[in-house]
Amino acid sequence: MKRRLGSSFTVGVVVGLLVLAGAASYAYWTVSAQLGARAHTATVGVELSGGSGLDVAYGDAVKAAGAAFTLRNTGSRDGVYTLVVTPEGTGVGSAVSARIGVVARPEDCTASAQLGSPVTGTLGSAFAHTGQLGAGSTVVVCVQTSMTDAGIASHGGASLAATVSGSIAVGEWTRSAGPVSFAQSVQAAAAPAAAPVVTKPGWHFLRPGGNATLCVATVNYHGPEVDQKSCVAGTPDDQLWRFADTGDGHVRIVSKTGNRPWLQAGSAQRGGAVTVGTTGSDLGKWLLLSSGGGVRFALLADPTLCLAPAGSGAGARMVLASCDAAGSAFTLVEQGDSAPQPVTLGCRTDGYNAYLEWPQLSGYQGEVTYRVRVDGQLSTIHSRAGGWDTVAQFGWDRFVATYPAGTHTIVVEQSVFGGAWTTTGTGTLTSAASAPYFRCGS
Amino acid sequence: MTAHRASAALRMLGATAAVLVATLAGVAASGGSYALFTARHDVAPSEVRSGTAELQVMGGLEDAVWTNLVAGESVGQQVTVRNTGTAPLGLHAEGSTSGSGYELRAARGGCGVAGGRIDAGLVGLGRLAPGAEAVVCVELTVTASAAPGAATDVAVTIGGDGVLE
Repeated sequence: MKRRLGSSFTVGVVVGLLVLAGAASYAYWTVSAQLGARAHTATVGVELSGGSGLDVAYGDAVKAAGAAFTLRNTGSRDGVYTLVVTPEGTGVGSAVSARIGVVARPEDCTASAQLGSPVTGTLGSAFAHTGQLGAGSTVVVCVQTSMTDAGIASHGGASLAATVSGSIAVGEWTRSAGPVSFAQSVQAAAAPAAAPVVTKPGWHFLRPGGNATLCVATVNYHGPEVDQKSCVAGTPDDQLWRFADTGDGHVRIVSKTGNRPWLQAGSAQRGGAVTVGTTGSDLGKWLLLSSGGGVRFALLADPTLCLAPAGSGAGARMVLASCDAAGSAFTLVEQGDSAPQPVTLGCRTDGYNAYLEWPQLSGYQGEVTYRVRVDGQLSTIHSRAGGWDTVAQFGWDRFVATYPAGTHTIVVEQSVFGGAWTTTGTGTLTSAASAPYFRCGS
Repeated sequence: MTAHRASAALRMLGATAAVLVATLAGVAASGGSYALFTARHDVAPSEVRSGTAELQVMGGLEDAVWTNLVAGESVGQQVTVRNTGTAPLGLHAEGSTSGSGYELRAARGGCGVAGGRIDAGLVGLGRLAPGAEAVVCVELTVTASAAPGAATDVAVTIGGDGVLE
């Protein structure tokens, strides 16, 4: 196209100006041409659909969720789409892991689907995925959320709400769609089933996870830190523990070191350190649970938290962890035998007295108290059967008891560390009204 | 001396009147931008030269080039301007858009050369000698304040001021 001006288009404004004062005359013309066009801007838009499947309650049966969101670029130009998951509030969201990635079809998005190059994070804060989206094209974005057993255990009863929104940016223009809301909750964690654990009253090695070579020990003998270290044979006080009944169904896990401190938590927080001390609070009381061939120690202050090593190797500190954490099931190995099988009491007489005897309790003789039952009734004779004395004397001596003529069943019981009474041995005596006043047996 | 001076003045006025009459007659007769000047050499010291001012624009602005634009985008179109007259021209451009959110620029030398905002006023594009050509780029920028999915009319005037010396 050619446009000739001056003759066919715009009239040139001709102005002849004579500059009379100068040496020459100057003349000015103006010619112009009009050009025109109509410009159109692109359309910009996005649609968001889908999203069902994220409303779940985490618990034993549900630990993950997934939902597909379909974004469509309804505009006339390619753009950059963004899918944002925005939690409302804070708290449990940091315990909810999230993954966002693209799948081919909505049905490909499941809670456990493998996503190609997903964006990962938590719902503790807003979380986004972006990508290119052609004009008129769609993309299916899969949002997956999940919680670990530990997270579920430590956030029982909590809930969160969140929204998912989509947007597309074309040049400096942005259009949004949504949001789609979802809500998740965490079922209140029940305390692990409490199967009663009968322990012997003596000192025990505690082997995390049943590991035969690692034992719970106070660090540098006195602690207060506690870790797991290579087990030492003999009587390593720093590796020996006993279970002292607190009278309310729980125990203190007492160290043999020093003045006998016990395991305690600084606070009922998952991951918190467990040390030795003398707290009288529930942070120092434990519930012994039988589980999977081992014994778990649940903290009274929060029975969803159990004693466990923070790692698998020697030197790993003892912490509070979920009750299914690695190493949280302990094998208890008693040092010696504080409650051996009952024996038949040895018996001897001297014509006036009868003496019923039993062996010393190896390793615990200084910690044991004995008592005697005669025909089922506690006898005052037990006052002679304590400490290192392992003989019960029946006769006329003022320190002993006398019983009517006849045959009597004698049972000796023991208590170690003031714990439960168990049978040490049994025997039979026959008493007579005249000498010999006692004879062994019936 | 006085009579001589009066005679010279009268001759000069006569010459000037003749020039003006000739100019007006030329414009009226042509209906275009031709101007005819005549002068007599014996009119001194003023001197008048004659010439024509003509501008030819090759190419135009195409709707299709400015379609599907997005905010932040700048798209230029080139036209070629030729001085078909006999007098040098001082090129300039100005323009406007019917919608808001646009910026219109023009630059001599082709697209890619920074241009001035012709929607804000007249922008000079330099001198163009008789018979010479110049490439002028008209660039439309869409800003974020423009509306998506909208149309706007773009009008551009390219002009030239002719100067005879």
